[in-house]
Formats: sequence, C-alpha cells, structure tokens
Amino acid sequence: MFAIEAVDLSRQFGARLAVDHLTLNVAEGEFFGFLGPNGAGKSTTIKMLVGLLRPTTGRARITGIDIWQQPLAAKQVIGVLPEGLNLYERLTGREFVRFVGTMYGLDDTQARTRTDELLVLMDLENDADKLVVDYSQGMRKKTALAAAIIHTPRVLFLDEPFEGVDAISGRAIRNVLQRLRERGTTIFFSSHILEVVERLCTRVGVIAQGRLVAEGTIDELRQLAQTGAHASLEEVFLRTVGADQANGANSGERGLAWLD
Amino acid sequence: MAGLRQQAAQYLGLDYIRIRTLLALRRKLMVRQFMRQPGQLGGIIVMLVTLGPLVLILAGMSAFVYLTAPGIWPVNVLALVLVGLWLVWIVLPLLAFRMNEGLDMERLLIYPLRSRELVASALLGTLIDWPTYFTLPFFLAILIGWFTSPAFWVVLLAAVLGYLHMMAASQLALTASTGLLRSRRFRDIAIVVASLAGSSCYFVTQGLQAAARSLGVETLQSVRPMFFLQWLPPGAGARSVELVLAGDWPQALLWLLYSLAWLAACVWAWWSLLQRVTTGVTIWQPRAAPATRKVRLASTRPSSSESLLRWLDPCTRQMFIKELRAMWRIPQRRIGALQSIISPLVLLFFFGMNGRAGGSVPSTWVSLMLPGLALFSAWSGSMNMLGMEGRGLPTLLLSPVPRRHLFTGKGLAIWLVTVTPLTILAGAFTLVARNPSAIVSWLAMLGVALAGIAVNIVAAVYLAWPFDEESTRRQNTGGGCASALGQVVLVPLAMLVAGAPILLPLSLGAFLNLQWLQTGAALASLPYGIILFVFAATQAGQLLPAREAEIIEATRWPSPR
Repeated sequence: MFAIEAVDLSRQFGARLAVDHLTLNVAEGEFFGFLGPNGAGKSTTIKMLVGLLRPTTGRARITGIDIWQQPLAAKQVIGVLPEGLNLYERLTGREFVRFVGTMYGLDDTQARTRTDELLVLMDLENDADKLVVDYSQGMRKKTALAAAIIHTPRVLFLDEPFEGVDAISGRAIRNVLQRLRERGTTIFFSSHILEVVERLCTRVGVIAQGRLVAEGTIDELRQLAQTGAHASLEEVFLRTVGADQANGANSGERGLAWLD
Repeated sequence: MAGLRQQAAQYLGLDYIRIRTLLALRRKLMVRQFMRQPGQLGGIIVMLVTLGPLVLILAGMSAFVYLTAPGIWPVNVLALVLVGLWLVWIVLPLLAFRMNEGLDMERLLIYPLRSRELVASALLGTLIDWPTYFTLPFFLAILIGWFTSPAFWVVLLAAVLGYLHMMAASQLALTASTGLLRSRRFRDIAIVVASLAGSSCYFVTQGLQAAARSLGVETLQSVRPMFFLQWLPPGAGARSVELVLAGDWPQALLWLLYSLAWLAACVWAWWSLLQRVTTGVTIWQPRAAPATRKVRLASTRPSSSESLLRWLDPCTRQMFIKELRAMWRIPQRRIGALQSIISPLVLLFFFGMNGRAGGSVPSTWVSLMLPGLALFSAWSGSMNMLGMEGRGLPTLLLSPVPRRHLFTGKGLAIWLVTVTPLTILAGAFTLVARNPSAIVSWLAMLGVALAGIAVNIVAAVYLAWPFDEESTRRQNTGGGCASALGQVVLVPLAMLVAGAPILLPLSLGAFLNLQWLQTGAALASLPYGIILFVFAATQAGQLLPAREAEIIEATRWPSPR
C-alpha cells in the first residue's frame, strides 16, 4: 500500500488544463520532493490530493483511503501546510495551534501540552500570545507547520515551506522535518529551493505544464536528463523542464542589448 | 497648451514628464480600484445619489445667504464654509487611506523623485480624486454669491487660499500619520468607529434637537463664529473679506498675510516630513509592545470559562470559543455584534422617552418585538456562516472533525451574542415600562433565535461567498447575484416559516388577548428551537463534506489581496 496514490488526476480551469492526467505513487516513509516552475501545477496537485480542490478527472488515495469518498477518514491521517497558509488571522499563535489540535481529536490536555512544546520548538514562545495578523511571514509559516504536525500525521503535505522564510526559521523547519522523517512520516514536499530538496528528499517528481515529466531518485533523474553524475539538482531540473535552452535564447539573442 | 504646461513646470523647477506620469498613475489607480472592486463603484454611486443632492442643497443655501442675508451673516457663512471644508479634508483622506492607493506617498519614496515633485504631484492629484468634486459646488457658490460684491477679488483670493489650505493640510495630516494609518490597530478602530457613527445617528439627532430647543433665537443671533474662525488658516481669509467690506484694507492685508504664512508653514512642514519619511522616520506611530522574554509555561489546566462549557464536546467547545473571539476581534464582525447591542438600546431609549412623555407601549407590540428582533439578529449574525471563517476556512475543512460540531459551536456562539442584549432589553423593559409581557416575549425569543440560526446553518452549505477580513467595510462580499438573492429573499422566508410555529400562536394570542396561547407558545419555543437547531446541525454536517471543495472555491478571493 502506498502512502499517496494519484491516479489520472486532472484539473481544468476554463480552457486551461492545470494538471494533466497525473499518476504518481509515494511509498510510506518517503520524503518526496515535488518540483516544477511557477504555474506548473504543483499547488493544484497538492490541493487535489488533500481534498481542497475537486479534480476534473482521476482519484487520490491517502494510505489507501480515497480522499473524495471518505474525506474525514483520510483527513485524520494527513497534515497540510497549504500554499496560502490559511491561518485564522485574529487568533493568537497559541490559540490557533491549540484549536487545530482539538479539531484533530486531541483532548484538551494533549492539545495544550503539544501546543506549548511546538511553540518552543519553533522559537515562537515569546510571540505566542500575539495575533497571527501581526506575525511576520516566517512566524506564520512556523505556526502553520506547528498546526500541521500537532496530531502526528502519517502523511504530511508541505507546499513551499521555505518560501519567504529566513535562515534561522528555515533551519528550525528543516530540523522538524528531519525528525518527522526519522519517525517514518511520509512527506510530500514542494519547493523552489533545490538545495533543500537535494539535501532532504529521497525521491523527486518534476511537473511541467501540468504533466509529470520525470520521477525517481536524484541519481535516476541525472541519468534521465543526461547531465552527468556530478550535476547539481538545479542543472537536472532545468534540463528536465527544458528551461536551460529557453533561458539561453532569451538572454542571448532577444532584447536587453542595453545591458551589455 | 502642453508646451505652456512644460514651461510652467520648468519655471517651478519640476520635471514635466515625471509630474505627468505621477498624475497618470494616480488616475489609473483610482479608476482601477473601481474596476477591480465594482462594489466600490456602487458605493460611490450610492454616495453621489444620497450625498450629492445634500451637497448641492448646502452649497445653494450658502449662495443664497451670500446674496440675500443682511449684516454679518454672509461673511460668517463664508468663514464657516471654508473652515468646514478644511476640516473635512483633513479627516477624509485618513478614512479613505486604505481605499485609495494613490494617497500613499510612501510607495513613491523608493524612486529618485525630488520632494518638490512629490508635493506638486500630490497637490495636483487632488484635482483627480472624486471627493474634490463634492467641494466644487461650494466654491462655485462663493463665486456666484460674491460676484457683485466690491470685495470680489479678495473673496477670490480667500477662496483660492482656502482650497490650498485644504489640500496642504490633508497631505500634512496623511504624511504625519502614515505609520499610524498603516497599523492594523488603527484600521480596526477606524472601521468600527466609522460604522458605529452611522448607526448612532438616532442619538445624534436626539442630541441636536435637544441642543436646538435649549438655544433660543436671540442666542443664535448673538453668535459670531468669525470671532473663533478667524484664527484658523482658511478663516483668516474670510476675516480679511470682512475688513475690506468695512474699508479697513491694511488690516485685511495683514490677515491675508497671516493666512499665507500658515500655508507656507504647512507646506514646509509637509515637505520636511516627506524628507524624514524618506529616511524611515514616522511620527504618530503606535507604540510597539515591549519585547518581553517572559515565557509562559505550559498550562494543562483549563480556564474558568472553558470549565463552564465542559458539557460541550471538545471540538464544539473550541469552535464556540473561536467564534466568540472572531466576533470580537474581526472588526467587521465586531460591528455586527455591537449593532445587535445598539439596536435594542435605541428601542429602550425610544420606550423610555415614550414613557416620560406619558405614552404607553401596546403589549401586542412588545410580544412580537423581541422575537422579531431575535430573528433579524440571527439572520444578520449567522449569514454566510462558512464564508465568515475567512482565510481559515480551508484549515477548518482540512480537519477530520465531524461537521455537525462545527455548526453547533458556531451556532451557539451566534445565539449567545444574539440573545444577550435582547435579554438585557427584556429585563430593562420590564422594569422601565412595568410591562410583564416582556417576559413571555423573552422566552419566545430564545427559541425563535435558535430556529433562525438553524435555517442559516443549512443555508451555509449552499450559500457561501468570500469575506475579506482586511476590508475597511463591514460587508465586503464577492458573492454573486444568486447568493445575494438567496440570502436576502429565500433565507428570510425560510426563517419566517421556521419561526411560524412560535410566532403565529404568539401573534394570535397577543391580538386576541389569549394569555394561555401566548404563554404556551413561549414555553414551547425553546424546546422547539433546540430540536430544530440540532436537526439542522446534523443535516448540514452530513451534507457539508460533499460540498467542501466547492465552498472553498466559492469563498476564495479571485486574486491575491
């Protein structure tokens, strides 16, 4: 049984096909990196996998449970750090994390204790009683991550967890993710920061224009992209999505001559 | 013409192309703000229809006074008009700051623009802003009213000075309070104050009537506003007109110079402030809370308020508490909560006045008043129940909590906020009017409110639209016509039907004077309301999971805000 299964998943927005018949399996305990250029369909895929956006076709299963047939059972085992964070702006950080904990079925004592521990772990304890609306981007992200893991989910979806986060917060988040990985949590992770993906992920999927164009370990992707054994993930990624040639054409031949 | 403008700009040491670009930017921002949010254009049209005639009437009246009133009145009214416009222009931009991006000069400070260009573009930009057009009738009235006066040229000068004072002072106030205006706390307070000022019109009218009654005609005739207004910058211009009419030209010149000095000081202060703001210095910035290193220890003991709610399921309890917090902390929702307190107060005040005037309130009316108010409060308080979750809605719907708990927690919190002020009203009414029928009405109201909320719980699964927590208006909706029609027509009708088993016997009992029927309906009201509420929460809880993706889509703002 896979932790995450997406079968023939598509989503159409008007005339635009945002995700194009995507099929993907992620095994239990895997740290799966999901890469793609802006607008490639990463967030749309995650939303369909967690039950926030109904797919036009296809189905999604989390630990064998169909998210669209048994939404509440599937949601019990997942934690999500969504694209827009979706925080309650007028709750304090402490109130928010505790509220989410209770909504995932933790009893009062568990919710309180875990909230306090998570706030310390995320270095938010001094700001825990401020309203979320007054938080910086990094603080928001850490609060959302604390809320996503408070119920010890079996599968964790993270949409751009490092975007807009400073180095200190980034390190705190990375440490938490490492610990979750060690305890066997499956992590599905989208990011633009390829260095982090390279360091953390066991397997990577690349999506471009809604299609899954490559999937495998980083070494497998190197072979697939024919970049050589020591190529960085950035080179592999650019080659895979075909951006290396496009960029060269843009800067060399067309326009911006005044920059020279 | 363009060449002339270019020459004028050069003469003043300004870059013509930059000024033109800045003005074009301001115009585009204003137009696109309406294109992006057609609701705002609707608001302006409503304002034009309601405020436009009022402005025209006031301007017409001022012209009438300039032309026909005897003695000191024309020049005193001139002073009142100029000072009034000046004050309005200082306050108005502060309130419209969030609405009009063009007013935010700080955004331009990263570009290599000179202060004089910023000042010139800000002053000229006011000619593009729509509120300017509300002031034009007053200036037109001045021109018409004083055209035949021997002091016309001085009046013209005073009017031009008045206009420049208006613009400079409003920009100074805006720049000085940039830090404050950007703060979330100021926005929150401004939203609540602006909205409540509108709702408290009744009290203001009563106060003005009382003041007018206490002042006699003789008192009014002895009032000389000029005595005070002459010291204010635009009032000094009017004072110079008064002196010219009296033939005292040297003193008139002194007052004009006084006004001009004010203007120079104001522009200089604004200019200096702009330069300070460039370096990141703001004044009137709300003080940040001191950085405390005091860490709160983990507390596993529930608070006393939570202990009181032990009988509720933990999820329902947390939802209830969260909803109460949202109703207080989100300014638009706080307005709703405060208005549900103000409306009964207005009624109480009305009955109090009626009682003092020797009148009495018919008991039939009392019997129906509280349930009617409860139904209305329940309708407005529980409207768009899921959309009101704002940005947190996806988080809520990502959780596996049984959906009936969500509705129960939210519904109970709304019910509490609905019935609390009405309970106080019922108690006060029983004491003030010595009318015991309020107790029966109160009992009936408890169940009717629950029945009303039950209807909106079911409606929430089908009718949802976006709610912008950061909007400056109470109800900033992106819902379509179908949502509006459903919420304004279908839901109230369904609420009346749901309340009918209580409201009908209550009305019949009141009109036919059947005490037993009224008492029976009142006693049955709460059990009936509870049954309907539980049924609605359970049903909606079952229906919701199949509609969650669609609701999230419907409550999402179309573009990042």
